[in-house]
Amino acid sequence: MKKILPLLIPLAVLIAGCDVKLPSEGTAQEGFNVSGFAAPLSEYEYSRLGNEQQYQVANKLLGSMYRGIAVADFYDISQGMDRLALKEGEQFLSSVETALSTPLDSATREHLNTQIRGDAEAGIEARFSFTSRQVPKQLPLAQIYQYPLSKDFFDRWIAWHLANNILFSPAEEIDSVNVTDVQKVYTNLVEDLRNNKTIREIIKRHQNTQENWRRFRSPEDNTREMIEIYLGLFDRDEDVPRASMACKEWYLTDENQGYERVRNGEPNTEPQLVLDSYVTTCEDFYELIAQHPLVIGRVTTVLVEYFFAGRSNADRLKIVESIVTSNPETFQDIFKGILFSREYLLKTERPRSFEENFLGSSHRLEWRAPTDLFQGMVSRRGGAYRANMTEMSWPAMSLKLGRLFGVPMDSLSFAHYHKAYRELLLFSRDRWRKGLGLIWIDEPAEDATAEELALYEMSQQRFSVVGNMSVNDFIDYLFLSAAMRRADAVEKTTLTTIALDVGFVRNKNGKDLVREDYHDDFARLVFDYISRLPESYYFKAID
Amino acid sequence: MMKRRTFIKSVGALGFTASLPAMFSSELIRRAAAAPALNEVYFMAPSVMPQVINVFLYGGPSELAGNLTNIEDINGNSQNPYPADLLRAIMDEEGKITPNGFWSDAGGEAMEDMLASGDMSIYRTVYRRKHNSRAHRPSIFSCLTGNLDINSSPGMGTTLAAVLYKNQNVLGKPIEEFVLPFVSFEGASTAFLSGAGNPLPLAIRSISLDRRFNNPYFRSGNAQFNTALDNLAAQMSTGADTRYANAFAGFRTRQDLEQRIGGFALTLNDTGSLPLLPVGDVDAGDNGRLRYPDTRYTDRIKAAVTLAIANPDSLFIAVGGGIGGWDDHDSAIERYTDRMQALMTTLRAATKHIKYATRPGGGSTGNIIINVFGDFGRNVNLNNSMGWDHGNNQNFYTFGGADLRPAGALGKIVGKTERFGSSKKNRQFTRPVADSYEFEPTAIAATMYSWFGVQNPEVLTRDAKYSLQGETAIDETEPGEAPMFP
Repeated sequence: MKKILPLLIPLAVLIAGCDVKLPSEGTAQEGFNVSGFAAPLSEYEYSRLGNEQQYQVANKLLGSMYRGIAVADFYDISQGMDRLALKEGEQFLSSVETALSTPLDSATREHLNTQIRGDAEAGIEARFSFTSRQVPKQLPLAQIYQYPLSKDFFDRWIAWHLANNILFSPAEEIDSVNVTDVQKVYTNLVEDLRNNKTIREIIKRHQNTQENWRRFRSPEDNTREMIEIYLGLFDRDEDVPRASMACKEWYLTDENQGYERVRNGEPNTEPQLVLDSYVTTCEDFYELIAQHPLVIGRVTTVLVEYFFAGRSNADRLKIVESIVTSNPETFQDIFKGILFSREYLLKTERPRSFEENFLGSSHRLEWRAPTDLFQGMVSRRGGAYRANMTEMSWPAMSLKLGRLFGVPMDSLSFAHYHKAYRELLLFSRDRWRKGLGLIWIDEPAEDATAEELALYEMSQQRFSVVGNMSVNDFIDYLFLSAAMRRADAVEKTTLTTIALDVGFVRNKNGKDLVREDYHDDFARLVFDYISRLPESYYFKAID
Repeated sequence: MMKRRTFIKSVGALGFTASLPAMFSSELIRRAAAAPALNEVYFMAPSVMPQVINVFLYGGPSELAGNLTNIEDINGNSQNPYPADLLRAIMDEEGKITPNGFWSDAGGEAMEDMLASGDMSIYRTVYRRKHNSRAHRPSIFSCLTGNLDINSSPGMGTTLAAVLYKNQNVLGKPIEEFVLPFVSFEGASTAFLSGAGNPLPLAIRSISLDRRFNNPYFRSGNAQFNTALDNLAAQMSTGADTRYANAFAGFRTRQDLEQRIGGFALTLNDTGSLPLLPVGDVDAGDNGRLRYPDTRYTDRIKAAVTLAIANPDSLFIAVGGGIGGWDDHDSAIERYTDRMQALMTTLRAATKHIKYATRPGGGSTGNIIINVFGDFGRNVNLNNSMGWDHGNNQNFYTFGGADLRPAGALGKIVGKTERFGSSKKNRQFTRPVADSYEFEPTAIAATMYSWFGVQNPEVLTRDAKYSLQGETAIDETEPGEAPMFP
């Protein structure tokens, strides 16, 4: 632990951007290691990869968590794109893992939350704006976007995943569910994760909540779905009526009475044989589910199906078996087991979800997110309405059975995805040209915020390098930033020809040069091209 | 320590749930399962090419809107009583049972209209005797793949596409020349489940459209570079058709849809394109033309019908998701009533749209069929949350298609049911009476295949475990039931 902690600091600075304090030292989770087929990628294996591959792996890991690291933070680009030297090559994986186990101190967390939501009395402008009714769905994304890599960040990201899949979806689409239920489900998950509650403890608590009953609204519905969702048993119709007897005193009132879960005062008193055990009360049944031997395999399966969507059934089975036999106890264990596995980082190719792609790219491109970004993503409100994930058949915490079908890539959903990625992110040069160092910016005013000052410093530093790059180096810089690979020779030639035609590039003494003040125009052209490549919507296997 | 057998059973769920993202990943579709079956299909090109709009009611709708024939017995044994007016005929102190046993304000009046006009038939005994799961996922998948081997079966739309592709030499024109033959108005649909190794040409794979024909396919900005950038992207995308298959397909269809979608939008939004109705028709607006009711279903159903009329090449159109949750475990009476009323009045308008429409190039619209069904039917006991839990028996509503159905296929109610189960407890259901006609839910897919020319649809609906013989098409010549209140 001591060995890798020093690396935490520079990494946290890089990944968090330049506006936050560092995670404090804390209790990192220890003791869980996956062995066998889903064993983690070792630092040694990682270090043996080529530079470009290391960048891909780093951003696959971070992108899965809606984060990314900019080219200029990962590499020392001052010697040219042909001679990239790693800034953060050594112990990268373990430093990320350590960061994810290290809580923020409360002052830092409070500071970040104040930045996000603002404080009118203190004169602090909100970094993001929210629609009042949808705050419970928008704020989590803002925190995931803004927090540095830390346990607080990781817990929130895990909770977002869990609340969006079948395991814990609040199911806001159902009449009996409202956004307060969404808030309860999410915040309770975050709190459980913060306290390192076990998977079984979390499932036990969640089952016995009104939120869960507003999703599954009668004894038979509720018990059937618990058996299906947490045990993966879809053929136990004989058990359902007996399980529902155990819960028979519970019911949900109607709309006029506020969809309250109440007891009718007639509890079951006869033991019921359910799943080869006897239960009498609903609490007994929930305990039976939570302690059932199938639980860990089932929740691992649900998560593996998403993260390893491109893999064969046989491979996924081996991955699940490998993780389960390593005896995970917490969701953090399983998510880390997945994210850091060699099978995931090197061998899995799958579509990237909109959050993974859009937010991950925005970090890599140092994109300055609009204040209403999360309104747009969740609620189709404001200037970022194109990012609305519901249009992409990927609504947040809404579906009764969660985001069940993997990343939707049908023609309509994908059209919305592509349009938002292209037009909101890759086209909005005003939001990335400073961070990428594509323009010279004026010195900030005296009352500039720390964030503005940091952006100025970073931009100037990068511009001094990027502004002097050759055309080919510049294209490679843009490709690495947006596509995480260098450009092919054909791509360089063709894009340069187009840029020459429209005057972004000029030829001087037989040498092509990006014209002064046209770096951002050229970048937009290149990014537009990259948005048209099918590969841009996938996490790749590392060749 | 978990035993290996237990473990395998646990992750055996992988076998099932893994099929859920199967529309995006390949191996889960056991292609070997479909290919031999295709070779066994005996196909004869239909004399009238059907167009089928498949409306799927996710969640599993109660049968009661279309079947109150057992309501007295149901009420007598229910934990909680049904409204008193639901137990009386409409001619009896404003009761709610229509002459044919429909729930009057749960779409029953509209159903009576469509029954009388010969635009609809109802089959009341869709009953799952093989692998009787009451779980949503296996039920949805088996219904929409038309097969009980849900891990290995493509969606019914994909299977149809494969059949027509294989037999295109006997169709009027190659299926690849059809414009938008397979369309979804529900995004990624299980009805179009396929593997990434899908051998079907892009032109006949499903595409999904916006229910208002909005055009997200249009690219803003940088228009002067479009051609050059697209050409370069195409040049550099070698192998992307398999490696990044779905995004690749998305880009290929984007360009086509960008151009085409506007035309459909114009038609959809042109109220003058809606047909004139007979004088006094309940669905006529002030201008005498059809006026769709303003319901949650109107956008999708109207769009599907508009597309089918305007484009005879659209052969199978999936309409679902967002069509409202039918999983009525609580507060069912009021919500279900409103939902069914909205659905059936919309469908009544849709049947008139089809019936009285003039096709752009002429030609009958009597080949357009709308099918409506769901995961399963529901328990008929009103539970303590005043809802219905999962059941089995359900209705199959089918509309239009007079040009290709046998005589007497429309305007009737087929199947007779009875209540069974423990009194005053939750497990009460309906089932077909002993001498009633009935069929499995997968027979609906078999029927759809038969309309398109498959003479032996059982080869496409059989599996190795539950339905060894497969399902035949519904017998549309079955006689109808007499009215409940003649």
